[in-house]
Amino acid sequence: MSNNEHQDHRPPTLLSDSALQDRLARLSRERQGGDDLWPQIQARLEPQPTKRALAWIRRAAAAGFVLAIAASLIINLGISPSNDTERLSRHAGNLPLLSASAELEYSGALQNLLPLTVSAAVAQPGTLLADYERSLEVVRAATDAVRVALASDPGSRYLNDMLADLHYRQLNVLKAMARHADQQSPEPDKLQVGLEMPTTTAKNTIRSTS
Amino acid sequence: MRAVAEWDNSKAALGPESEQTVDSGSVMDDTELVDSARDGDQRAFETLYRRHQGRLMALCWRMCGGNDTLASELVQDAFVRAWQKLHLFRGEAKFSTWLHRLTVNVVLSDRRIRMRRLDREQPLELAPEPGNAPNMGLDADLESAISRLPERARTVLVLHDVEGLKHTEIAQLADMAVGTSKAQLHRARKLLREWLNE
Repeated sequence: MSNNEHQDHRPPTLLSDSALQDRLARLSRERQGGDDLWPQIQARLEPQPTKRALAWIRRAAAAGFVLAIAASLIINLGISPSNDTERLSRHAGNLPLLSASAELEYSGALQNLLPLTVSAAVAQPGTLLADYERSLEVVRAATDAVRVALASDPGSRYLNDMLADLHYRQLNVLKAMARHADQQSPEPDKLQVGLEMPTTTAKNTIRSTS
Repeated sequence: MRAVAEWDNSKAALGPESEQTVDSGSVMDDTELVDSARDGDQRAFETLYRRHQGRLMALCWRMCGGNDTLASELVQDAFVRAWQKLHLFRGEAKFSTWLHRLTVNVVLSDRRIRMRRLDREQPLELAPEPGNAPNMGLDADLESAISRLPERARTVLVLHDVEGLKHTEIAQLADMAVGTSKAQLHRARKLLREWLNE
């Protein structure tokens, strides 16, 4: 029987708290080996934004701040987006870059929805309509700022995500307007059909860009 | 760019532990590399990756319970995030400190996403992959015990006892109360002592 085997049968020394902490502090802080991850990392690196693009990003961020105020305005009016739209809005944060075809789809959906909301707006009380218009104006201003920033830095994932988010917010405001009118409309089914269209289009957009 | 290449060549010639022995005149420090990377120089960023990946791999590997695959993914995510946020690095802290904090955030954020997806009260305990203990020598039992800890307890233990962060920093990073951080550390140490004394 070797010395090592004798040692294995000795009762173990209980590890004290300080001894444990000492062992933990002495653990290696480096872990080498494994695959070289650089090729995968490099493949995911986007070009760094230019200083000009950075300036636009800051402006877009400022517009986003204003947008948050608009969102709180909508909430204060007691309008809650439908579960579907809310889910899509959350999803927007994870969207990959918006394709040109997706942009066109959105434009089409908005064009289809706008006449409904304009006619619906006639039925809104003056104060409420003004609140909607202010909210829409803020969203549009933010969208314009992001588009200008994108012109300087078309590949920016951050800006594209922000643009997708703004599209969903714009739809939310328009849908909220139409939904209010829908409650007062003598032909609610007609408006309801119009309301479903952008959401369906939004779903398709997510699929087409995934 | 030339200085980066010089640094790489010198380091390659002298071996992986030669960073301190290279003539300081030919070595770009992290701040210079960050400046170059911020201007779009991917080679400078690659040098930063090679300089810091071992440390970040150890951090991610321990925090996710000895899972090599997940740790590799998290290290990739951390460097991609660092590249995206380089323009926010002001140089007020060391780059290594900034990168370390960013990586902890990436790991914790990934964990929150996984937990939401699973929609369970108990977090998923990722089993260490088999054969993951090379080069750990006498510390293999300790590393194995750390990987068995519950996630929150393991996070606090690794950040406090291995990485040297303070409870206030851990509380901020992990979005928990300072008291919770202390309690989790106490729990982790107690479990480790029990397991190692068995």
